[in-house]
Amino acid sequence: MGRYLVRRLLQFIPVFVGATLLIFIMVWAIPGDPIAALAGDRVLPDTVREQIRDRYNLDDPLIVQYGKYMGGVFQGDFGDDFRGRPVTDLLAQRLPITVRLALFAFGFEVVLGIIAGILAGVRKGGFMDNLVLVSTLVVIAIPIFVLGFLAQLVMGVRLGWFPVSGVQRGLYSYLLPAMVLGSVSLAYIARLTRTSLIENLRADYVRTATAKGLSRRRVVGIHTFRNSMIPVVTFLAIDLGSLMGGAIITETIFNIPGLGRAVFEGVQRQEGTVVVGIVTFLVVVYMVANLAVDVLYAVLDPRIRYE
Amino acid sequence: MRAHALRRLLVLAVILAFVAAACGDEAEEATTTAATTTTGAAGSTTTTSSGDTTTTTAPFVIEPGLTGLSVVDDLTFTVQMAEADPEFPLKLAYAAYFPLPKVAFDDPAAYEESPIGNGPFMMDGAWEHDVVVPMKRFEAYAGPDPAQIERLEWTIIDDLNTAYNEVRAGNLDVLGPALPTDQIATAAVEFGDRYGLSSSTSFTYFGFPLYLPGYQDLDVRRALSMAIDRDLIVQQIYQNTRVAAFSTLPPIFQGARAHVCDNWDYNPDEARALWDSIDHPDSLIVWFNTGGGHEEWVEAAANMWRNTLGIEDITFESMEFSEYNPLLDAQGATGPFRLGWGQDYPSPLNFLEPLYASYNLPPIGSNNTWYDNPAFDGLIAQGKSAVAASSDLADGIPFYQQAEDVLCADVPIAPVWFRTNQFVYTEGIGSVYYDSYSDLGVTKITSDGGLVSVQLSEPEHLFPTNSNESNGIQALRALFTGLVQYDPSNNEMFFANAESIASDDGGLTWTITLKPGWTFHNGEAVTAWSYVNAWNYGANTVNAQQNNSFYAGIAGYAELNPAG
Repeated sequence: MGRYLVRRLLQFIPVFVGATLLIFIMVWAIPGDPIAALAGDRVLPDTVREQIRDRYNLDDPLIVQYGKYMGGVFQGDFGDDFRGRPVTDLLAQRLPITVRLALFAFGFEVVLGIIAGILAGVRKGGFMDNLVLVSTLVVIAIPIFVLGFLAQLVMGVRLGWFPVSGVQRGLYSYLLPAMVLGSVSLAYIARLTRTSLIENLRADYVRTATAKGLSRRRVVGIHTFRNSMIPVVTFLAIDLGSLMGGAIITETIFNIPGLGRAVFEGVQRQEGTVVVGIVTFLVVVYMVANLAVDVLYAVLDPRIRYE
Repeated sequence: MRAHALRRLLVLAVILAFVAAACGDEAEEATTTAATTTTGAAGSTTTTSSGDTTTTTAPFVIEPGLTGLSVVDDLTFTVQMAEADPEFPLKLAYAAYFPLPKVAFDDPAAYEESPIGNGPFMMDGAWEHDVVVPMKRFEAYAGPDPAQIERLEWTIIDDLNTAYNEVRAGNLDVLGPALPTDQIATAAVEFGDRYGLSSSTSFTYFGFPLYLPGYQDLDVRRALSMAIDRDLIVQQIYQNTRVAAFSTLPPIFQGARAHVCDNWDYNPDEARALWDSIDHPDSLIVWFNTGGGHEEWVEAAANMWRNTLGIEDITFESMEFSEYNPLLDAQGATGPFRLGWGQDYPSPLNFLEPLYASYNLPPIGSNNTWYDNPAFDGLIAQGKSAVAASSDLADGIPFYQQAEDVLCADVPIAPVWFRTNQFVYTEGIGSVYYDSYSDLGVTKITSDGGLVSVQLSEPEHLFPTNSNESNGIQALRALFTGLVQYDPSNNEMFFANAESIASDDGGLTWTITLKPGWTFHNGEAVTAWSYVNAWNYGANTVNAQQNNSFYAGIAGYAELNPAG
């Protein structure tokens, strides 16, 4: 187990270098001069433009730019954005916001999703099963921005139950966006849990357990449920990653200044430092989440061993 | 087994701790360290005794400076222009010409987090990035037009639909000068008397690539221009919330005419007849930039060309503005291209000279059609000398109108529409207007609760010499009062911080006198040096200020911006 962890952690290094290099190349390949674009319709004098390009090493060959960037990163300097603010400040400002939103959404989808999945799965074809199937289908079918604006208009503007947007009302501000953000994953989790549970309920060991005279509650709750969680946990790990980075639409609708919007704006402005810094961070989050899942497998299924 | 389980739990605990640490709010006050280069500051600090304008030591001076700027006394300085510029005073309302206190140069990056100006509002705490720029009334404001409200909050909301919902819910007080596209038709009904429309100068047109042989034929350009039904575009796509353009001068300007010549009018029959009678191109490539909502009207115009002129093969090329702008500057457009213009200052000259004068070619100038007509250049020169001779803007107008006639005859561009400011606000808010710069009139606005919150996108900068986009400038205009301002009712210039601005040599040398008794929000007196230092700082290439080109007309600019 210990050796396994070390090996997995060592794998982080090439993934980290590869990911940063790839993202760097992609940002670099976006056509247009980001510095000239800073001035919008107006013309930036060449002398000033050169001055700023110099400051961001934009005239160096790609690999030199990358080398300078990585050199800074290893000293804890993630560079500045085009407004002159350090990217580490940006991360420090936006990360807590995104983490709050992601954790709220994650908690919401895990709790409700698994409960709905179990309720549907234990009695296949029953009323709850059909209710869950139909409602999740509806949620999956509606695009997230429609759902977002609808929730905002109904629950925020008309009913006034939640803040319409922004993060100025503390944790309460995150509830509605988290529900919107988590809704689609919730539907997937419910369906995944249901299918997995139904499948496992037909397994031999379940019949054995039932034959031994164990109560239904124990058969489902202990023996089947744990095994059924393996595909769900796999999904959750990936989903946590996308919650951190993929909340652009929700963050925009609810005016939440999180990482997703920062990346989006960074791409638009071709701010290599911002995009690479944040995306690299997200890559690390993905990797850690995946590692956590692999470790969790062993908890869920004692037959799985790591060497 | 048990040991394994324990170790697993330990790993989980570590991961959870990592997430919890990331979740915490430990990064409260990350101080920004400035990487901006400041030029050497000579002289010792200016010490003022509580609003008293007498300086006890040598003034604080930014060096090196523009040779064209020299301070006469505390309240007077002179500006030597590289070439006579009779309209120089008109330009001085722009953010690039605001004064700066000494503290701005000590640490520009720190200053920007909570800018100190001389305007009707002062910062009420620091700029909270992506959330709010908070301001309150500056009680010691010496200007002619003090604020009516106690607090002004620029709430940062990027998405217009979200902002619109916030106004509906009553949380955001004012949204403008643009509304979400889906709401432009219904907003007037929904908000009733809390809806407003005002003139803007933002102008959108098709330019023709005169550098291509196919477009050097005047009749091709005439036919294309006359085939565009501007009224229909404005009606159908913008529900009359924009104004069809049959001229290049914004309707709000002195000297603007509703009709210039037939070439810019809609005349489908003549267009078709003309098109058929000439050796015309068989296909058309139409260029525009994405991200500005131009798709709809550009496609509509293309359909008009298809239907009226019978051009079957019309294709579109579009890209982000950051790519589009350099492409146009490199003569990359191979067909009609969309472009826009907004005022730097309200004068017809500002809508003619930069866009069509033969000496304003890209990449320095904005003459993206490569239009070159000595008659046009001559009329512009005549207009300028007429204004210089009498220092009355009105005397230039006949020449500017003739220049516009020349343009209309040559059709280097086809005007399409002028934007308007469209805004909505909540109950209890009064006297809302957006001026010709599309900025909110922050001093006139009233509020029952004394607080007004206004939508803004995150500014790039809040530093006068470095702010060149609308969000930053709009916020700065509440914090600063420049030498001159414009009366929103008639767009006429009046002196704000200036007592007088005069030239007796036709605009080559300007003597600027300030009104006495003005102070910055921190109590520092506003002196001639406040202006001269700010301009010298902005003009020096070492400081890489985005408004650098605004000082290009002042003598000595070239020395501070050596090529290469």
